[in-house]
Amino acid sequence: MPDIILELRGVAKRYGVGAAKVEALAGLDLTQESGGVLALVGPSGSGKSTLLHVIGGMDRADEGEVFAVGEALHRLSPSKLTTFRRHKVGFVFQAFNLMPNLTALENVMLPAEFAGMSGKEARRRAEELLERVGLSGRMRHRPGQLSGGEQQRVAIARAFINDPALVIADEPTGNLDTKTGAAIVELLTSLAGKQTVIIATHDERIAGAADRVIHLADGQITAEEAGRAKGDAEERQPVGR
Amino acid sequence: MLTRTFLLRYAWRNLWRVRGRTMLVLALTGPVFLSLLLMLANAAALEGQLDRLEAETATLIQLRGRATFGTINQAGGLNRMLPAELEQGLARLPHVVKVEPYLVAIEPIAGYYMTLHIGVRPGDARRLATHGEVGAVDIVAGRDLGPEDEGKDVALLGLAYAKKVSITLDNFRPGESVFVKDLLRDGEPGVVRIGTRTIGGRPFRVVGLFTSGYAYGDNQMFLPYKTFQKHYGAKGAVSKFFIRVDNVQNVAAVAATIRDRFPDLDIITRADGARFLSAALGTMRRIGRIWLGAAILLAGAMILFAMLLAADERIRELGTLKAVGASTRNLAVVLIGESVLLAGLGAAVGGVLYGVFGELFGRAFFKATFGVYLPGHYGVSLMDNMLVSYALSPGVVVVLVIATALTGGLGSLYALYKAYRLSPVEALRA
Repeated sequence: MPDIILELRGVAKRYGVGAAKVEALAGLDLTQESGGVLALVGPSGSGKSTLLHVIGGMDRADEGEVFAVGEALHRLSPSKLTTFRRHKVGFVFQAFNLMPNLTALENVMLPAEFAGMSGKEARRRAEELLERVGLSGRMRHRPGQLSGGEQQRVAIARAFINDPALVIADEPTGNLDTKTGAAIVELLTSLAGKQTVIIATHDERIAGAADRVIHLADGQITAEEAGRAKGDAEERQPVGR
Repeated sequence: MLTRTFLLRYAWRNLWRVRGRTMLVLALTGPVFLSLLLMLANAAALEGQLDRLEAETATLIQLRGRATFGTINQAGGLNRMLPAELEQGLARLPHVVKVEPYLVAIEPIAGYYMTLHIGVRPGDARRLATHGEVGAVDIVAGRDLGPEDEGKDVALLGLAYAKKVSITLDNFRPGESVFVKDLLRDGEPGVVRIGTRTIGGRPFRVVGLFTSGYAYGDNQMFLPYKTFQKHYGAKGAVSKFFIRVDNVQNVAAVAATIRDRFPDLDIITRADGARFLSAALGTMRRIGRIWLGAAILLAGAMILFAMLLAADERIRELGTLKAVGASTRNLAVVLIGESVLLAGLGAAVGGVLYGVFGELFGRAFFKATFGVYLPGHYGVSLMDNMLVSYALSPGVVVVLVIATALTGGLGSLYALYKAYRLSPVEALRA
């Protein structure tokens, strides 16, 4: 029986008050097995990012239960959530979010430093990852000296440095041209070994690289399908509440 | 430890990233730290001066003729002086360690000034005859009067007195002759002529210069005891006795005994000098503390403002750090590190300014701070005569380290508050 890495039960998240209240997640249920790539697809405002934040322990659901990598996130204190993020989740952001005054190598080492890895080991792993993402010659460069695609490669290496069980990528190709975007998605999926990678995107083409695709709209799962990775033959299955 | 080093390196680079602002903060905080060091140097010198005076007077009793200042040439003059043979009686009193007879004459000199000529024995202390007799003097050039000088026309001059005869620390040559007569004035309009001057017209060799920390004190001239007796005709008379008691607890008892045995004397104990000292010290300490507090607050506020800008500008970065696993403590290391580094750089600038310009600014600073609250003549003469060190000593470094920690800690408060409340999601949306 496959391991369940993620389980959400009746998760709701609202922003704003009164008439301006927006329901970002509306009682969402989701279960994800360990390993592979899950794509969350939907237009802007569909709740993809909010869902990623809740899964990644960056935000709390207003209602419902969130179990991720063996932790009941809805019960964790802020400091425990920090520990959870530090050891069990890797993040890739749309805008790369690298520290501008650290080199590529130091940026990748950063989460390892927070996790208490020895400096030598952190450096070794960071160098290895940068080599795998094709940046062995640019380790000493700062983000400002790298192209957008290169910066996102650094961010991906950073996400994998602590060998997290879950890697979350929020619109990782949003700031990149189509060709570079495709290469980034390929890189992300190729790096994912035992990790589960969850990618939020509104680009349906990227979803093709995923093992499983979930469509979101108005904070709800509207459809689910097996990605191209599992074969084009499988049909999209509507999922409703 | 490793993480801390890594984060401090990051903090350091953040300062370099906004180097224009960093330079501005250093340009503003450097002088504040400089003022802090100047204040401490001046306050320490002042306290040292006053402490020394206080210690000097704690076990001292002064005796003089009732209702006189003890000056030999004042109205009443010699008739109101104390008999020299009193010394033996006083020396035999229990707890009395030493008795020192002083001969004092007051003399008008050029301008509207008075000087005091004081006859002292070779081994006795060179005290001020003013300000409750609280002072001892420092020989700053040449030598003190010695036994070989008894009966000779030699003198030890205060710096203010010396200045009036154009002798300064720079041009002083031990043994230089000074015609004291040239300084004495005759019946200038508006000036009350005091007593008679038998000393005028004689050349005196100046063997040394002293400073006391007091305007009037430095207008004194010490003469050998016998020389004074010879010129003022004061044989067998004493202006005042200074009595040293073995212990401060016995001062009151000795004073009471003297009052019983010699009722026709004025007895002056430390309490008189202490009144002046406590008032002066209290003022100095208040000014010093206010200044130190204000300097720390001012430098801290400047750094706080710089850190406020930094935290707001880098909110996304801080959010990212939190997202990838930085704890609030990790962020605190970055922010406090940045703030303390900034404060430390400001302190270093202040330290360098102090080392280079301390001497130059120190006196002006004294006059602008302590001097404002002191009577005019103190404001000038205290600083002129005080020996202040503006060297970059280990003590100065310790002060800078403490000031750095305080201002850096203060400067990081807003950023820490921000980091504590920071939600990674909100920060990333910013």
